[in-house]
Amino acid sequence: MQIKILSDRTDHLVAWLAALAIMIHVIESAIPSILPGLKPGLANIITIAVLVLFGWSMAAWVSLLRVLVGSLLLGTFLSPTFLMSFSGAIATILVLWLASKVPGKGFSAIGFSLLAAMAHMTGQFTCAWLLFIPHSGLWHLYPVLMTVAVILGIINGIICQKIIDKIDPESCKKS
Amino acid sequence: MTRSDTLAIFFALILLPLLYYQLWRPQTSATHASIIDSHQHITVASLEDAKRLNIRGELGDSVLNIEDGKIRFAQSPCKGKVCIHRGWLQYSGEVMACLPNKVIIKLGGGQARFDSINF
Repeated sequence: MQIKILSDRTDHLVAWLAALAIMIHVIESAIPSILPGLKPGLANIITIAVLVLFGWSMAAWVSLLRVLVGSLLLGTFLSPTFLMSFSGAIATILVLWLASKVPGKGFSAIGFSLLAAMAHMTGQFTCAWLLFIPHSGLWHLYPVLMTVAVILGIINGIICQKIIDKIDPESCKKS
Repeated sequence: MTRSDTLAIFFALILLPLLYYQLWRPQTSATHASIIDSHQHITVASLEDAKRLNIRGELGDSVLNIEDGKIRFAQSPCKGKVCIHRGWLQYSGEVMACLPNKVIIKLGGGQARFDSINF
């Protein structure tokens, strides 16, 4: 008996976009960081763009695939780095789900990116605190990292908006 | 940018100072000190009035000095005098000890910042 696996256009899009995010994720990991847990989060630009152009469920796919495959490529799968990245991604997806439900005009890429950055930082911080450093002193770092998250979230959002402006919305319609 | 974006940025900018305030707030001052001597006997001393305490230790008496809500080891029969060099303590949850003389001081009162500290 033969099993046929059918893939539609959405699956191909998810794969392409996840590959793009993974590329950025891997390149970004080469940038040295001044503080642990601090990265520009450029790969999240793809997540936000996908959210705006294709909707939440595709953004969730791209985000989780990016964390999973990115960690396999970097050799950090199931390591603390991966767990923090993963919990950050989960928190981001949940917050973006809520944010995408906002009625009216809702958020643009800038708002999504800001919320995503803050959720990611909070998620990975909670993970670090629960699993690795269960000491209340850790939270002294939180305001500093959160400040950076807000700044980078807004910058990434602006970059993302510029990218979206250049994409023809007709080409993103589901066939 | 939509109105929701502006609101999100606005709330983020309000949240940041609140976070700094909440997590970087100065420590609370202690109101009393629990002093444990070499026989495990606990003396609780208020930090409000200036006074000198003689605490019986393994080697002899440790002299503690209390002033302006602060406490320190003033004299000690121990060799290294590490306890004296530790200086004044004033925040709730802080701990110091003279190990040779087996005297431990723990500050309490208000809201302690730490339950315990590992070095």
